[in-house]
Amino acid sequence: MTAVLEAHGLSKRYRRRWALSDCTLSIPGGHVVGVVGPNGAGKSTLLNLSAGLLSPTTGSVSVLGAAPATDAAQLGRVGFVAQDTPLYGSLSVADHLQMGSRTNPRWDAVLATRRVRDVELDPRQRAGKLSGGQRAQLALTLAIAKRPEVLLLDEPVASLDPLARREFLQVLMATVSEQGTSVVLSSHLVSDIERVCDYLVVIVSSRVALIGEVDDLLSTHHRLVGPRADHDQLPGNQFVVEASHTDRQSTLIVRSDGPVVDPRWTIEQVGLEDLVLAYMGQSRDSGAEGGRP
Amino acid sequence: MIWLALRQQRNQLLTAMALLVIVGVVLLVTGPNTLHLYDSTVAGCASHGDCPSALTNFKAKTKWAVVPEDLVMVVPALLGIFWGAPLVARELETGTFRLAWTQSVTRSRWLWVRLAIMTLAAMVVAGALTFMVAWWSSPIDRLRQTPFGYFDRHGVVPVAFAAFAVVLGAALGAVLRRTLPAMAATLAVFVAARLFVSSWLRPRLWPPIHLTTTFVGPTPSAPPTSIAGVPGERSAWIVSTTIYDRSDHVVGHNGGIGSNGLFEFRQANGSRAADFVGMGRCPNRFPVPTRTANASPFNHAARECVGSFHLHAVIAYQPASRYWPLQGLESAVFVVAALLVAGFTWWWVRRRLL
Repeated sequence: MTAVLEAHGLSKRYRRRWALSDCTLSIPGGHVVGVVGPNGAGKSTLLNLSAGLLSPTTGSVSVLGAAPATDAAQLGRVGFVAQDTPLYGSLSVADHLQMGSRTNPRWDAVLATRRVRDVELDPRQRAGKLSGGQRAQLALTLAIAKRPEVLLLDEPVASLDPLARREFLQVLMATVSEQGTSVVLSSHLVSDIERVCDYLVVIVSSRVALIGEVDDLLSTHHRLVGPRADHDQLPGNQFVVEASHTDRQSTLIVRSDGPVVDPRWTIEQVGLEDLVLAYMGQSRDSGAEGGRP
Repeated sequence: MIWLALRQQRNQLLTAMALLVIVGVVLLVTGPNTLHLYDSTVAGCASHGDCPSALTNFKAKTKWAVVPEDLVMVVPALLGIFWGAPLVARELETGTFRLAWTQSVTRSRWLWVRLAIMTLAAMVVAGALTFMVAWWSSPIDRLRQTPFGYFDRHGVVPVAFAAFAVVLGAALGAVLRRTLPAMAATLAVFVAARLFVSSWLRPRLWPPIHLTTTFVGPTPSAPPTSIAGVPGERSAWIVSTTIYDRSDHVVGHNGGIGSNGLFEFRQANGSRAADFVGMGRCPNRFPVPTRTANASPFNHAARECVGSFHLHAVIAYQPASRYWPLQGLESAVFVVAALLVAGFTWWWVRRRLL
């Protein structure tokens, strides 16, 4: 299967600041991919590059095997929900659906109407008067009803309250299972990602810090707790992601391809949140602040 | 895509339509009055032998008649400001371009459709307004010496101005990405372009005809800055007049002689005579004509004096027969400019806004 998202040496610079540096990744289809990282790390840049709203400074990106937004057909294969879900404030909900149907050949009017009814949007309401949650739902409806092969969602739930957030993600998951759409969604909250994603990309300081299927990542990372020790004594197939020490005890988060067999350490499971935080901390410690590779 | 563009611009289009109807009704109601006034004063004045007073009467009552024509001047700029500038800028400003450009419509098509719709609509609005105003002011126009006096308020040029203004607004909006600065920039650039064309390019679009004639002015009724006009071409547009002395030195431009006027009438307060100041070779006192007194002794003396210098003038002029070709030429200039700016906008939106 073609990669949903593939990038080679992808970089984007805004004036003097690198928003994304040397990003190389290949994400297989059929996943719900979470792109996670601190604010300003480059998540949005990656998604906007993938939607064809930005062009790379260097490198290349392809979505479903083709360059983004090259023609109408390619645009039709990709659904995009931008950050803060921009909508035409003076146009009604019904107008937005009309827009969707007029500008997308594969538009699913039945689905759109049903979704609008399900989330209790008044078709006559102007988009400018919708709440944040309603806006997000309408934007998602527009993206889903064009029947894309991949949905790109840029911080779709960032501005939503917890309830709206849960509803949004539920609807998203229902669609994914119904239509088999691949999803790439970004968030700065691991809890959202944890709930729905089975594939993870961690971007910190404009670089990809970690990428892989969530299950694989969880099974190859361990938390080692033991007496205070320096971690340069670990075997060669183990990499320390994060180390914290107290006077007597060391806690390491370690990436290891094989099982960790060392009687000095107590081995614990790492949660996704801790794992992501460990990688974010690592990149910060190494001082990579958006510099050029 | 056409639907979306129309839906988004619906309010603007409807507003323009409503205003056009209002202006149309006003012109339709007041138009016959002007025509009637013309018929009752100027049209039959020759038979009554009171043309000067009829003319004064008519002109006094139609002083405000410049308003509709000024409207024709202003509307293209307004269209550029309120239709053109927000066309791309507002989408960039509000972020909705992210919605628009991720539907199954390419960015190029998105731009061309909305640009074409608004440009054509602006041309229709400007054309309709110009047509209505031309009809309305036709009695007034009959009294004007040259159609070139209302060159950019009549004919087809306002339509081309409108097309250019809208495209210009869209381009500046794309570059500046903010509606308000784009509006201001549109006004500034549009006015500058119009001034450049009307004052510099227009006289050069088609090389004017040159005519050498004896310089006979000035006279008190025709002040030093005017010249008799082109013989046989009463309604020609005199682009420039250069005055030479006997040895072909330039002594003056556009009817005046010398920068301060080698000839100048100076009338002492309350005096019944005027001095001819400057070359000082003429008998320096003329009987001053008044409204009641006959001007011809003065004119005669003045002409004789000026004639003694053997000046000649070269008049560069556009004959009235060139009015429509020049209208077409200037329109073409603005339409081509609009196409170039549209091409730039397309390039910018496709390549630079990434």
